Amino acid sequence: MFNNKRISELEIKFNDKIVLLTNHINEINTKLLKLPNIDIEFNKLKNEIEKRLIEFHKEITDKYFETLEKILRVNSESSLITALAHQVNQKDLSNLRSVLLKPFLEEKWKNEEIQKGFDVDKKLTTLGQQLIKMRKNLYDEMLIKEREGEDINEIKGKVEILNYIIGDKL
Amino acid sequence: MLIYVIEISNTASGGTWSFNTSKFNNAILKQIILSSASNDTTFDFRMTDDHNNYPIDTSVDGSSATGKMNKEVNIPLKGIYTIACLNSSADELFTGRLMIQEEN
Repeated sequence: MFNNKRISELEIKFNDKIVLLTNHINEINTKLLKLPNIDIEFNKLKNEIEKRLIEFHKEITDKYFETLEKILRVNSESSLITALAHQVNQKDLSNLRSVLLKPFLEEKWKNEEIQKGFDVDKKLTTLGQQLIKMRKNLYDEMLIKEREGEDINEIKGKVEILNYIIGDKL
Repeated sequence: MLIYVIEISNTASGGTWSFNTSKFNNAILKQIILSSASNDTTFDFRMTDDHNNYPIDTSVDGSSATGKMNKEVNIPLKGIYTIACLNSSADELFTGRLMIQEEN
């Protein structure tokens, strides 16, 4: 009789504990559901920052090359012409100007291609720069083959597909 | 004597544009007229024949143009040629024409 009473007391205590625990778990579940989806918000913020950094970099680089080009042009035309006056003819000056400008132009085109590649990346989520380079190579190859009298239908088709993907024509 | 005109209207990308002509048999290139959209754009002009020779290449002969190119030439044409603009200081529209004299 004593044992039965003891068992009942223990049962009641145990049930109370289970109820307490269940309530506690429910509380935690409710709180978890209310937490915002942190991962998604974080990725959005990260992408936004990267996009702004790229835009800013492009703006600064464009301004830099524009200014450099202007400085070189003014320098080569004014100082060379006055300093060398009758000794150098127009053809030499023209060559010199081309040679001076060329490395900066090449850097500028390379950066423009990289930026263009980023734009294509957004559309395709692949390496856009490789596609643009591939299209240029295929187009040049197509011109050479056509000059030499070879069949260009296949390569022309490939160039057309790349034009469509990239969004403009060469 | 017949005059055949190749109209040019191309936009440069990475400082260059190019295209192929039709096949010539009995023709002479007489004049090259080419203009960039901006007056201060520098550029070169090149023609390549079917054996990769350059009958004209202003990047080599030092006659690069600024804004406009107007050359009178006398170049015999045979086969297909690639017409190209190179080293353009701006990616913009180029317009112009090639004047070709064809024999009957």
